[in-house]
Amino acid sequence: MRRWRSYYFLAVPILALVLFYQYPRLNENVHAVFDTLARPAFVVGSGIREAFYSLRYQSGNFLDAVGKQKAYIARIQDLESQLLRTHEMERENERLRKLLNFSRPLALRTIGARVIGEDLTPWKKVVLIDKGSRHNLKKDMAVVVPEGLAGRVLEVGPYTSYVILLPDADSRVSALTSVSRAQGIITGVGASKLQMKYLALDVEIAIGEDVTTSGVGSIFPKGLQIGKIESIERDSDGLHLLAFVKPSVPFSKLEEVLCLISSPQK
Amino acid sequence: MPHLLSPKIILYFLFLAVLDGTVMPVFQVHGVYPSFLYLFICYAAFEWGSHKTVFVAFWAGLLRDLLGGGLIGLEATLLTALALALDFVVQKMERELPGIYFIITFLFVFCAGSLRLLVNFPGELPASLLAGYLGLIVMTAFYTTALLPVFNFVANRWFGHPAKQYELFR
Repeated sequence: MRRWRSYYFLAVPILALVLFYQYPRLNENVHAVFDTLARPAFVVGSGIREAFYSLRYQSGNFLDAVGKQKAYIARIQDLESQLLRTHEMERENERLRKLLNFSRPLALRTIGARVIGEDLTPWKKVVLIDKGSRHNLKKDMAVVVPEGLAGRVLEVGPYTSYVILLPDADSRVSALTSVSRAQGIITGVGASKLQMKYLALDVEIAIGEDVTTSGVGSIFPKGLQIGKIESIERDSDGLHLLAFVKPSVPFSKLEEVLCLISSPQK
Repeated sequence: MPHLLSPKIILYFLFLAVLDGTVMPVFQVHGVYPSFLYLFICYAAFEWGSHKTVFVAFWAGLLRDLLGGGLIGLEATLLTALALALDFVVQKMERELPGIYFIITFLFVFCAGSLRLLVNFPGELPASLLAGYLGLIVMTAFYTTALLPVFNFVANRWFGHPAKQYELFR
């Protein structure tokens, strides 16, 4: 009898699965409630994670510094003299800028967020951030880090949001190579490399060429760094070229991100 | 063994969920990190005997569903179904066989990952992607299995080591 009870118990998750499949809105709401309730625990967890990262980074830096102490001292002296020259040039630049009545380009409005969780499925590259609709975040906003484009906002809850990163297989970004101006679509394959698909057969792309967002579509502003071309081959359909791109963003070490909450000013 | 709805079990579940969702990515190797919720299911099967595993698997799956942001109930269904199979295997296995716990844990994590892959991509998946994803699953299974002794130690300290009566008759 107890054995059969175990089999009956299987009906519980199946019923839940059918229910949430039928009502996706309910699925989203339950996620939003869970994420809101679990947010303090996630924040504590991300604090522990940052402490571990910091420990690993500091110990690595320390060991590295011990090995290169002399070289670092010489480098510091060199950089200090360079810094003095740079300060002088900055002041001169400022004076000239005012003189020519240059205006600084308008920056995009952004909002900073911390990564507080990651999807547990190994091939999915989706992270949870600690900002949501209460912080003016909306679906499909571009998410960037200093190194370049990281992804876009996938789902928004009141206090948290899911961000799909470029290496995810469901991610699509219209992209452009910096020199040859070849257009293609950047997709993820779940691993450390990205693919640039649908490149015309006659384009001449160089290895190491920068890949940036093309600005086609209304999600990503033009010119955000994505990565560098690593290798090129003919696509399996024979009609296009396929390039492998090394991303400029270190996706395994994302801690803080910026969400672009306004479109680029023209 | 504590009651399945005792605060000890609930707290342990929450602890493992936070560990899996936020802390474990620090310890990733080539994009792979272990899952303690999988180990908890295996622990329940090995230490608490049959009929408890299904319950643990259900809650572990539900927590993984909620942490992942996908369809709720998917992982819970897969893990509950696998827990039934795990229970059956654990009842029949030869406990004295060296490394049997590691082998079963590895197979459990591998099957859970493979089933999830199968459900996520029910259509045809390009061979290169399939090979890559299977590689990730195998690495996750290896990494998770390697932490079984650590998990057993911590769980035994938390729940108290169960008395094994069969050892009296050796």
